[in-house]
Amino acid sequence: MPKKLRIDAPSLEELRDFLSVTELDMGCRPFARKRNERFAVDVVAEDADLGRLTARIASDIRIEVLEDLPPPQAKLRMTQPGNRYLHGQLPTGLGKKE
Amino acid sequence: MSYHTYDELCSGLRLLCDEYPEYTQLLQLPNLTVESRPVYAVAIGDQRGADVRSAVFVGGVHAREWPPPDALLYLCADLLQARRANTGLRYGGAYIGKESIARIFADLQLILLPCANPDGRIYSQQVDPDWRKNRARNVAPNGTICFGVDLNRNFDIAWDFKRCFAPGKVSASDNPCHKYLYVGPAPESEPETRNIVWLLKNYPRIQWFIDVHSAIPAIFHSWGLDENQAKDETQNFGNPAHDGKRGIAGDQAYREYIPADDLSEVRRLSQLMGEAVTAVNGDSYEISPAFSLYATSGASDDYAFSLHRLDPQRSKVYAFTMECGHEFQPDWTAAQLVIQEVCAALASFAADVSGSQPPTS
Repeated sequence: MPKKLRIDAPSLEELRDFLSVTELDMGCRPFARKRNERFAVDVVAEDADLGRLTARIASDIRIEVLEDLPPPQAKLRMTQPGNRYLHGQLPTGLGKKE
Repeated sequence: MSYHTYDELCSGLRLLCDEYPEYTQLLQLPNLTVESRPVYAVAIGDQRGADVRSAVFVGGVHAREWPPPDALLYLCADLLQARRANTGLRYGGAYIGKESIARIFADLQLILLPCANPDGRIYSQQVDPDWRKNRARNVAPNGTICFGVDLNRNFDIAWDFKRCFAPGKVSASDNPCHKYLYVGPAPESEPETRNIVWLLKNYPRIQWFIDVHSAIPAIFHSWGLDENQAKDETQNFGNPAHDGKRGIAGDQAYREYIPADDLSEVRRLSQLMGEAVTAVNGDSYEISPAFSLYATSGASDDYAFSLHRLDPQRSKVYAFTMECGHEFQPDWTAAQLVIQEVCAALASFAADVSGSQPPTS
């Protein structure tokens, strides 16, 4: 099952070094946020990745499992069949017109 | 309610253009997708056309990032309804007044491309929610067939990453079977990429470009190629003397040149969008140059901002990537909040730049 992980390090350089030999999914753009004087990146990984990452932990790198992500089947149920605009109803947006 | 399918996005755009012909023009972009689907954008404003000062908002480049296309369709609907009714727009605590809405329409053309990668979105919504790329068919050197090019590594800006960057310092792959980062067989090889390029080249008065992605959350401005510097103009993406040196964080040997005034302006506009996001419901988006952990090659924002250097006659395009929300496919309740954040940020952005002077070259 895929998991969302947070990997953090005391410096960007250490975080880069740790991540450089991984093939983790870091989203559109590999980006580290500064949190409590450390640098953190959120990644998506499978169980096997987590095992490999944990085995490589050195110095002051920390890995936290943030959550188990829903299985793909659950995501596929998030769209509905048909076309909500088939009968001519206009999209209205989510902003309040005032 | 739920996320829009690609058919629904197209139907929604058509209905809006039918309902508001005085403010809209539906644009079918010149290239069909790899799987032969048409791609649509909509131009909105009191005046439309190639000679009108414009901002472009793009969504759906990465297929698995489901909220941005919905956000751009809804933004279009909100702006049109507010313009006709002569009202403002509210998203949570963010408010864009009716005078600002009127000014956006009077002074700007907004070109909204809600879904740049329809094949990918359909595949992501029907087969593999983790799908990011388009659906191009690739043959690997060993004969293996793999699918998909990362469109946001396919633009013609430092596309040849092995030549342009120091080894291992860029988020890109030339492996046709890489699930996320394959750059494609050539720059602009993909029809979906060429559609965005077509917009940028055929509307020469485009001055702002925002590519809406998810989910970090952050707002990125130039550059993604390397860290910024404002002193040495020769350190630029087009100078082959620096090939092989780009992308190394923390060094002084190469940093990407950006004039100080431009850096100040893109920071200001990023901050403005971030403040609008926070006003919606309190979330805080990071504001940063696109270069953070690693460099990126062939990305849309860097390509858009590079154009005026390649052709000094054309407008300078300030370019951004908005990374909305915290996950690729939040449940619909959470997605609606993210959509409002995107709409508030983009509408506030448009309100600001509609009153501005054109960027100088």
